Amino acid sequence: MSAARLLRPFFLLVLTAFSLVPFWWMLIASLKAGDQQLTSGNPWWFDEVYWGGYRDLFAGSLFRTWMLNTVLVLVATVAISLVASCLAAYALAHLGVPHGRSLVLVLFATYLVPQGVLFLPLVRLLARLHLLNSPAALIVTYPGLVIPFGTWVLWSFFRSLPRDLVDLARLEGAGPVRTLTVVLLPMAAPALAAVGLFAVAVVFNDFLYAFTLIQSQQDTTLMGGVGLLSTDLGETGPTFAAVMLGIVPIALACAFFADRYAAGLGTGIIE
Amino acid sequence: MGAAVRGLEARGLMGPRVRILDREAPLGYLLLVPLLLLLGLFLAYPFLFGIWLSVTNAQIGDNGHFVGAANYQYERSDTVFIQSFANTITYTAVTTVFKLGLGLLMALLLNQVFPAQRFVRAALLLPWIIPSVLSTLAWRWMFDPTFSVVNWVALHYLHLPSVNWLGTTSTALVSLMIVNTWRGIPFYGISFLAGLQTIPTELYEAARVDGATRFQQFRQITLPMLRPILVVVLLLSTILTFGDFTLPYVLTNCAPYNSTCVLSTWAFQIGVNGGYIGIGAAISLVLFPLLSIIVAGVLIGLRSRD
Repeated sequence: MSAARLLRPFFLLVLTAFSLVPFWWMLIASLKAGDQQLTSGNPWWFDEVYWGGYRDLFAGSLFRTWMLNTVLVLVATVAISLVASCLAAYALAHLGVPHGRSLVLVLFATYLVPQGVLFLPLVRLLARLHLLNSPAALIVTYPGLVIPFGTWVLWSFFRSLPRDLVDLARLEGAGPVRTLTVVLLPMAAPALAAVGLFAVAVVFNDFLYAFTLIQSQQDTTLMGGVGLLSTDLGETGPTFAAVMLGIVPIALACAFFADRYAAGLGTGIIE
Repeated sequence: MGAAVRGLEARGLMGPRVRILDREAPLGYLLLVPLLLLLGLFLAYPFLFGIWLSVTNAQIGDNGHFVGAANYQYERSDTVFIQSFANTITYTAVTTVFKLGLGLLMALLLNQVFPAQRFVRAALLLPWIIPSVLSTLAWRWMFDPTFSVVNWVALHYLHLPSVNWLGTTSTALVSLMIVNTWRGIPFYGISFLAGLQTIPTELYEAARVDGATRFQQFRQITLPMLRPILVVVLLLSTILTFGDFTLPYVLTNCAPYNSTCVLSTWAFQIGVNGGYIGIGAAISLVLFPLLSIIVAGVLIGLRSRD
């Protein structure tokens, strides 16, 4: 028992350190001049703090554009995915659309489709729709990767709510739309947070689409932009400065929803 | 909740509404339209088009024509393809084992009260919600032979010989797996935590009264109660790891000597860099039937057990 009491904090510490080590390195890298990294003594500490990376970040309009595009794509993807998943999940769970379970399974099966086979046809399609080489290309594509998971989580959540609740709202004279917006949605906050967090993870994990659907440096996101840059040392400064200033705050804000995520995912699936 | 219903009540009859919004079934189909539109246009259509490409000899700038299974046959004699295939399997299998084990450990550790809880939880989740291009880039510098910070620690503190992480075949694949595990643990951890939090504490109390050891409690209560979420997370993660492109591309991009190619990066090399779109599509699709069968098997097995 006492051994376990000591082991737990130890494991927790090791896991946390493992998670955070690369971020510490990125912080150091953002504060070093490119070539200094090669020669300087301790790669885990800054010998002299170099702010050039952060200066370049604010001076060059490219990084600013990339950050803005990243946030735009992020917000739009989350919004579109949430609306589409929510409406579909509600229809499948409570509006008597038949074969709900099978449809959710089919949706889930779309994750089997390898992205590697999608991007070339997508380039062609988006070019025809005049969406290629703009953030809109990503905004219409990313929800496809979120909606199946989102619909499934929200469908499980809606089904786990007592049926009486929906019937009661109906008896009170609320139509199906009001039942969704006034009764169900406020209760679904944790599940919505779970789907939102998943959407952020999907957008941030993608590189293939960002890299292939937007080929001009002016219109891409941070993820695509870094891929377009030659990844030589000179650029690590502003790149990791951007990570520190822009990305880590976004990620931390999302991570604080972790409790919500846990709650949202848990209630639905374990019925 | 009650308040919301009472609010509706207070407003009394809600007045006449558009007829279609009253009838459930038509409305149900209407609400499916955004989903069907987005998935149909940007997933189903490119997928079908991709399948068509895989049976043509299309090249960049040339639509090509139907060649049957020639692309798939060509792959069978391609040694890099066979290596990529094996790498994909190893990469997925090994990382899944580690992510599952460490994710479960993370969930068990997080499912209790300790100081700075929110911060630790956020910190542990961070690898999963940071852009993987950027974190992988950081890892690439950390593994770099000339100024590897990993080696620096080994050299200065542990007095171990330095390793050319990304330079040799075996260590490069291990590096890929380390980074993938690093990134993947939180998804498992946080999802398992979700499952753990729904297990009623009374079950554990009852088990304790009956004199069950902690390990017995874990085997008899925790694992069975986690099963539904475990299966879903495992399936989703396995599928996504099979198709992972970002990480292998940014960390090694097949180097050294095409030895760390996985199917997704090899397909990219052939399809985009080489220009043979048809063969690239065929390489991407080669695992699709196998994966589908496995997933269908697991799902059917689950339903029959329930």
